[in-house]
Amino acid sequence: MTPPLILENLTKYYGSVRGVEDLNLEVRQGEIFGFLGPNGAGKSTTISTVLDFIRPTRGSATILGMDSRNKSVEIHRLVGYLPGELAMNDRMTGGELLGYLAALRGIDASKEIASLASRFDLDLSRRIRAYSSGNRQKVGLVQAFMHRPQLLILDEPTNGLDPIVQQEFYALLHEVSAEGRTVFLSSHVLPEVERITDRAAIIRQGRLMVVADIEQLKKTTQRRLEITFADPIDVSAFESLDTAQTVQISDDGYTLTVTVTGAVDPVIKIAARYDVESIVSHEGDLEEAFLAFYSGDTDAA
Amino acid sequence: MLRSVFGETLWMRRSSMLWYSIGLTILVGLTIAVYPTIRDDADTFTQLLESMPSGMMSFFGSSEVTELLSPSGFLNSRVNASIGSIVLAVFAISIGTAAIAGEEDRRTMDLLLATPTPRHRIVLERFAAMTTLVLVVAFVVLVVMTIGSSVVDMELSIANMIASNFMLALLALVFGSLALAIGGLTGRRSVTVAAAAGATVATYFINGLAELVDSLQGLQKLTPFYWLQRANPLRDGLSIEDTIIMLLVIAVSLGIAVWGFQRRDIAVN
Repeated sequence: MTPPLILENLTKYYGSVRGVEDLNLEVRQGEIFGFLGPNGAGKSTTISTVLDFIRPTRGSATILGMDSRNKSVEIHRLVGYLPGELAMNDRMTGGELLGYLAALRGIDASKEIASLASRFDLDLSRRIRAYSSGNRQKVGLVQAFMHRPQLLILDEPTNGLDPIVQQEFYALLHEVSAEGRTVFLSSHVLPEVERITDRAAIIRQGRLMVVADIEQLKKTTQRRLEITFADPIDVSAFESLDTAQTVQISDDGYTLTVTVTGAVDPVIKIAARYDVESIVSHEGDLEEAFLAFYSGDTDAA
Repeated sequence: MLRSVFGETLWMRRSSMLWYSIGLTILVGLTIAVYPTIRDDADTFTQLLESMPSGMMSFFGSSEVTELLSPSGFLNSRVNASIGSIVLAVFAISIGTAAIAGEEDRRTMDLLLATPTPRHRIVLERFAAMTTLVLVVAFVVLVVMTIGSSVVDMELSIANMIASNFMLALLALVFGSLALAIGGLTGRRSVTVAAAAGATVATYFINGLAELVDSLQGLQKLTPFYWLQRANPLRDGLSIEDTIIMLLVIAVSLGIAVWGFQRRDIAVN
């Protein structure tokens, strides 16, 4: 199966200013791929090049087996796009704009539009001018999903969405992925990428730093557990665990702090031998894992 | 209406089209309404006009007093040679500017281009919409002119009025297409408005002042206002030569707009 998105040495310079340089990437069919980086790192530049809004200085982007430059119209038919800075003709109502964009795609998407709008709790009869930023973003999401695209390219999709709508959006992403359709989403919010993507690439200052498998990353991520017991305990069983990096016991002998790499299960099994009063888990932070990757990089975001 | 770029452009312009039509209806209607007064008191107006410098007269579309006071000359001076042509040109420029540069300026072009619509098609449909809108307003002017002139017995031929308003529409489309071309090349609204409006004002004055300043007479032949008024179409009918020149300029501008828009990066974010 051809990867739905391939970047080969994709480079974009604005005059002598680097947008992105030598990006190489393959996104697999059916995955939710995160494109992570601080603002200004080149995420939107990459997306604009993939969609042929701007042209690469060198290198290429291949989308669903088609070259971004020669087959842009065919590509647009099969791709759903959400802009990072969503601007719309605000004199139209949400419904008018969506109907117009569907018409330009030559499809009748009215059922899909109605179903997405009710999922996101979006009133289509109001003028876009009158929408809150959250509602505008919902219109953006509906137009990206309404033609059931093979590949979704979403630039900072959860911008302005309230938490409930975010959950609905995440659910939608997983449905899309389960159908074998592919999602490529950019974000500068690490917990979001950690939570919803299968793999993620990290881009900084126009260069791709790493492509990481999120599950893999989680396995190498450290987690800190604080377990308080009803009685003082013996720490030696914890200390003998391979996955326990550091083991500390409070002076009174009641509270244990363990730093674990990967699965926490062995720690819990041992702890279960005693009367446990409370467990606090400091979630393994991908940010720390990423920062570890960038160690030595002073301005790590 | 919201089924195509063409339809969307017409739809979004529906109220401005109405206002431009009303404005030109008032202008043409009032011009025709005062004509009987001028005709009945021709001696006074002849003296008045003869006392004016000939250069100023040329801004009225003719330096011949008898010509200016004839029905076709009078109407031509008030519509084609002055505010009428400017107003319609401004309408066309506003549409031509919004077509590409305006869309990019509002940062809405990416959403439009993300649909399977080729770039050249956006330019062509927007051009078609601009042409339609300008022709509709020119048609409204034609209707007002036809009814008004028959009410006050101006004895203008309908064929000449059609020719005159058609050429008036072409003049507007020359400037509208210029705006489309600059927008296609640059994608920048401010640059496009400044260049197209600047070209309109500059060529208007070059054409008018050429009667006074000999050195401008070469340049005058390059101004769209000259192509419109060299012959008074209300009196002489359609000038084939000038019509062809304007159509060619429009076609070249359209070609530049398509070429310019296809070759460059568009403004996003």
